[in-house]
Amino acid sequence: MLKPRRLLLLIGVAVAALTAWPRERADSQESPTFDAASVEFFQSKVKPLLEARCFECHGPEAKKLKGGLSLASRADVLRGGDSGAAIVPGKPSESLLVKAINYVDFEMPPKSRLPEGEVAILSEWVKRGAPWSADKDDPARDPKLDAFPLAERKAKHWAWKPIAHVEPPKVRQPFQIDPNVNPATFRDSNAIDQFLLSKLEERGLSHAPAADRRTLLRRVYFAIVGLPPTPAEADEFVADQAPTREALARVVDRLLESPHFGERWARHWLDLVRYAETLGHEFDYPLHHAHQYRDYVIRALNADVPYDRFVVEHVAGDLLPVGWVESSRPTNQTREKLAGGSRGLDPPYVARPHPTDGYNESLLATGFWFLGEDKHAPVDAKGEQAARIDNQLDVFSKAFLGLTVACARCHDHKFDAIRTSDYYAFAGFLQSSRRQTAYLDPHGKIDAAVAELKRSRSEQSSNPKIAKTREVPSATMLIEEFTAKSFVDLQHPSAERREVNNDNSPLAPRPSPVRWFATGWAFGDGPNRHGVVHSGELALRLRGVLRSPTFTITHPQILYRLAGQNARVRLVLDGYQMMDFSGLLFNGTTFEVKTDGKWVWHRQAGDLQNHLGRRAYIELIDDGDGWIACESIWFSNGGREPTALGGEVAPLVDIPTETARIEIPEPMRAIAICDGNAVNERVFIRGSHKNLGPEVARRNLEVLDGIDQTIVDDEAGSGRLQLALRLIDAKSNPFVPRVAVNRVWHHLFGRGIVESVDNFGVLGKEPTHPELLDHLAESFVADGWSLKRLIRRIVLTNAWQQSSEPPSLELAKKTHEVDPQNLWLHRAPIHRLESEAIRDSMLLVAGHLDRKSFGPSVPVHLTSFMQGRGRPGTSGPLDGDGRRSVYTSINRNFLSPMMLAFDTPIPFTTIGRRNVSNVPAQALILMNDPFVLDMSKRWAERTLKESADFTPGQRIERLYLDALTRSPTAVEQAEALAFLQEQAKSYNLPADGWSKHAQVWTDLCHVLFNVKEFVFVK
Amino acid sequence: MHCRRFVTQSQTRRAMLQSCASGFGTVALASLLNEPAFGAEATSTSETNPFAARKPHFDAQAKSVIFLYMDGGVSQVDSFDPKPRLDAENGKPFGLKIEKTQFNNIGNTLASPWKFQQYGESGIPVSDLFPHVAQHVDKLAVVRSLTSQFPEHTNANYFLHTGHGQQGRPSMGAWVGYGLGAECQDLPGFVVLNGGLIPPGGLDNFNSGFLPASFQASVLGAGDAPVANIKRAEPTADAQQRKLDLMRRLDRKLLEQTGPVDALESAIANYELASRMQMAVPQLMDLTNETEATQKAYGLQADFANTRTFGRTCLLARRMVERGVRFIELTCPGGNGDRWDQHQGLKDGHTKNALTVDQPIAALLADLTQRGLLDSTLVVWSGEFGRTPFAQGSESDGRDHNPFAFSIWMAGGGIKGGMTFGQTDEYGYKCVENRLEMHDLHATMLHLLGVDHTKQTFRFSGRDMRLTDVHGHVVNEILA
Repeated sequence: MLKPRRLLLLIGVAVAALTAWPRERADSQESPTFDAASVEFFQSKVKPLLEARCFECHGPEAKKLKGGLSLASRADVLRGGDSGAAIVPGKPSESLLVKAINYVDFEMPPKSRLPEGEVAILSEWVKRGAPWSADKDDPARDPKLDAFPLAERKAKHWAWKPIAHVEPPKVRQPFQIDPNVNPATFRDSNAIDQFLLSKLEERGLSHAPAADRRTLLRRVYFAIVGLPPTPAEADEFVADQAPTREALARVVDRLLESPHFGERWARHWLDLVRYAETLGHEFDYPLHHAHQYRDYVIRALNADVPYDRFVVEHVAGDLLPVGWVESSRPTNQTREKLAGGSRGLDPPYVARPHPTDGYNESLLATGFWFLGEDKHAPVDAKGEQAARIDNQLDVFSKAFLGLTVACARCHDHKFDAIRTSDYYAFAGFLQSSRRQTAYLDPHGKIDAAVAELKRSRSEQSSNPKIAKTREVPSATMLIEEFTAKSFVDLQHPSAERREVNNDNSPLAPRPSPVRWFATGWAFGDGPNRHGVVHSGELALRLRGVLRSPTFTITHPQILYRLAGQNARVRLVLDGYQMMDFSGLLFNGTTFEVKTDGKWVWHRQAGDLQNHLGRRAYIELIDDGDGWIACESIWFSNGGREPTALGGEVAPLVDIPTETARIEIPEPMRAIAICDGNAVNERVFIRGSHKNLGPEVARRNLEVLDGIDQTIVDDEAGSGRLQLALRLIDAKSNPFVPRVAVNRVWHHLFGRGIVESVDNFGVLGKEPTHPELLDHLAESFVADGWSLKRLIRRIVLTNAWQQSSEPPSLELAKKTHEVDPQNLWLHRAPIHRLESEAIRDSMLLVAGHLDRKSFGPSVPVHLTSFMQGRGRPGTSGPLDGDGRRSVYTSINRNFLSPMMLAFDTPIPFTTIGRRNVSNVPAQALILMNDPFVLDMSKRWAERTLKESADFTPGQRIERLYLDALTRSPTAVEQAEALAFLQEQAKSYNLPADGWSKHAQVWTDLCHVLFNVKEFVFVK
Repeated sequence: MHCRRFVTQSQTRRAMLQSCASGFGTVALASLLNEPAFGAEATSTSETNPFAARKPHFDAQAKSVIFLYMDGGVSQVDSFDPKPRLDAENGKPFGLKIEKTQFNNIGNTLASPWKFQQYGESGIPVSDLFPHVAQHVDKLAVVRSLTSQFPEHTNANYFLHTGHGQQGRPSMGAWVGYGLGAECQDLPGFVVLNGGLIPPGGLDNFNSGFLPASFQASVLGAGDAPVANIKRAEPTADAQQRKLDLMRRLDRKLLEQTGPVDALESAIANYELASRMQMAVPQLMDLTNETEATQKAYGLQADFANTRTFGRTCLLARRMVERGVRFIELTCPGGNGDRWDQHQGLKDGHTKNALTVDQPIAALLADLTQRGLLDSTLVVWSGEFGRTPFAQGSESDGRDHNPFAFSIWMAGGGIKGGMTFGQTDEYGYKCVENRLEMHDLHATMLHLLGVDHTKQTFRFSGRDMRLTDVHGHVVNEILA
């Protein structure tokens, strides 16, 4: 286990305190008395103008007040709208209204500017103190009208109610279809059936009879692993003497243990997190290492990581302490204690190691935050950050909570009990976090090497020739003071954090210490004795990044006193990361460090002057076999460097050579989040980042945890972990378990109990079976949040095993009248397979499936129709190397046409329920696409090879078993044979030898890929 | 056998499927599998099925849209918005406060290299870039006050196409298909005729976003196989036909088992459409039966290769209109500099781009008029934003992006011709009169098609989404 690292560092920047939001102007201001001339001026000139130009949106009769601003009375004008008071009486230049009609900051009226004369009248009116008519009866708008009915909304909507304990209802019908099965064996599944049957019975309905074994097996294979069973697997199941349900239970258990389970269900999950491997926008730049996240999800599902932990890892996996000790799961009590805001972190919640390679697996989950689109050269960087955070919160709140929190970005939610302040409370967590390329250490080899390096170094006496020569710069040279900071390795947060004081500088006063943050190994345990951070002191091969606290750009330049080789510095402005791809508008924010072993001053200028007032942090990056040393960082107005400060500020340590024999492997990299210092967000009025409202503390939704939450602690960083622990508290937050079980239900039955799986809000659908939903959620939590066992319980219900075909004409008529949409599950639904399952089935049937798991994606195959900027230089293979579809790369601007045609969602937000559409492109693909033809050919050739001595009839049967998990009927046999002979004739093949020719069999295989039974599951 | 068991109850749906003559759009609409896969007939009327075909909200002037997309951003002050003051102050520091631009490399005021002349009865000035289109100026409503919210191509492209600056929303054509379906039996309702350049943002400019995939554009290339997988794989039509026959027989047996399942039935019907499309697309693309005069008028014999390419797509657009394709978008050919995006080399780039599109567009307007199709065809000419009236960089002859005002024109389909709408300041930098948002353009386009933009919604992500979001006003002043 690594020790927490600490480092004394003589760099840093003070974080400017956010200026307080000015207090709202008192609106109780008495209307002064105006002389007759002023009133006359108002009556004759101003009021008609307001009525004509403004009242449509801001008048007493306005349907809806725009921007919350009423100009109906003087009090209203003074109170103003969302952006504050409309005027400052007597001061036109300070009045928003006057600015707006001059098209400064706001542009009003929005369609056309007022004629100059009218602008002059209104300015004059403000200058005169905004006189109003004597009969000042115009009533001010009642603020209560605008009050947000949070409690009322919470009380009214089902989804806010806690999860209720409901006993399974008694049912009249015997729901146990097979009398040979002991009901106790399937008690949990039977409970689910009872809920379903009870609803059916209320309507005089019942379940359909059980599906036949072959149909059932095909169904369960697709449901759990997304592939059809092989003929041998089907034969085995059919031959199983045990009752169907027991035999099925064995199959289910086996499939849940298959590595393909994770691949199938990871694809479901990836739809929720808009998973892609490029960044879209203009040039579709790569999103490096994205596949590590995909592999994480597959592994997590295969390992049946408890879902609550899965959520915590997503939100804050980077903050879980590393300590590879199996620990008991936390009780609710410990959770409550943890979530209650204690700063100590010695919980049973620790990071999870990769099962074989031992690196920090939990960290990978956090990559989901950054799987969205990203844009280079935004003219409005802050606006772009707002758009990114909007997308992150949209995905976060829909995927985990089934709530549309992003709807509250511009205004309180129109329908749900979510305020704008909730949105910005969440946004603060992201403002306090950064994107990182995380370093992972398979098998702990780097950690071990570092330990050995340290041992080796300490054995040697410290270098006597390095003397302490640092001199204190003279105060007159300083632009801004930099103070000593401590920093804490994010991947290994420490329980207690010792603040390190630097008494080296005589300059007082000093702001409270702000931490720097390091990842990786290169920056060692802190600054060396000379107060220098140095990434090369242990070994050049070590990688690491050191990040500053967030600060505000107050000067047009930054000076770095540094040295190094093959290293880099980045200044991250408003979270902008795309300078790696394009320097446009961010020129100079990143630079290479190459100083030939000397100390230099680097002046960072470039476009920095255009970013004054922006939030930023600095990254010192040693990501190769190089090093970087940094002594101090200064703001500058452009004056000369403080070179006279004392020459060699701190001699460089000799780059170590004696330890070269110690082998240091390259770390694995992954996209992840990491903590910065705590930064609260301010409300963006009407969603505009240019119009800031009050600051909102980081916290959970008010409707769940109230307004006064003490869940975060500014000293502890972003507080994401505390948020995550609050989210998974099923007692106070019913959403996480309900949304999760509903998603599983959706994938197994084709429709969720709540049909709108991503929206449990007022505009979503009400649950068809609310008691069942709560029963499932409650048992899910009680069962340790196990997704696999949840799937097993549902799949082993009688409801799931019903036939999809109507039992009889008479019954069918009745059920059709009573339950036309099958809301009550009187029979099993028929689904079209998802695009991935269609393609994967073809690969399997063709004998061309490469079952290899994990790793970098196979590049997407490019057709001539996939054009545009950022098109990859080379196309991926037509067959995707035979890998499952989840391993084909997802290039945002070059999405696979076959996947798109069969409704794989465009990765832009959470899509828990895919469309199931019907487009000619689907038929054209199955008819003519080279991939489908290739698979048909391979399948035919494989079959010929494997069944060389078969009669045509036997071979036809074999193809049916391969593709449809059943034998052909006699009629189908005859038709297939006739077809083969016709085709043979048309190809001029001999009447007696045609059956050895792959061409005719390829045609039959092609037809079987096109029959609906292949792409639909009964 | 119970295949047609529900036939009496399901008339509504089936009748709709058969009778609405809607081709791709509505058959797809009617056959979405989002609803339960069986027994859904009784509820699948237009009241409960959000995807059912809809009549226009009111009588529509326009039945089709041809959207001439001028990728990269045409300069308004060099095309339809003359500004003498630029000549007067050429080379001098710009006279207005300047907002940050994409390249933020602000040069001096830059006069237009082109002269403007007045044309037609309306006397609307058009620059020498467009001598052919200028002949039709009395058919155009020139809007000089459109704005965008984005100075970056990709966002502005998404905004123009989908009403939203980020990836993931449905394109205009998809909304139109969702609202109205198509009138064409054997061609897609939303077609992009790709002249060569897929705009920044990629194919998602033409996608169906959260709407079903049914509504996404079919991108037609100008080449041998214009639609993906349209070419039959089999050596002979018979060989393919036998495959399809066998498939049909097998599918029918499945239906007999399951009863009438919408999803299955429409997937089967889908093959009929695909087969028809296989026939129809080559016929559509075959221009040999167009007269020599027509071909010449469209520029198919022009010296400049890009004129020939764009001319071909314009002619194809007319042929699609005749066949009832609902929404046709044309993209620009490559090789004229960087699209219309002349950060430098304004004169050369704009000249080549104009040469590419001017004659074919004029021919299209003339041809549509002559065939009596212009009244029912809305033609929209627009880029994603305009260009700055000042130069980019100190010694440049290029212009940066300008989202604050740009000129577009519309013609036909209920548009009042021979008028201008909106005004910019004396430099053509920002709007000062009748400023329009992109949403207003969309609202107006939908209006002309008979769709009330506030009523055409699709519930997604907890909201009833619209092409115009919560904005947009129909620009009544430019309606005939």
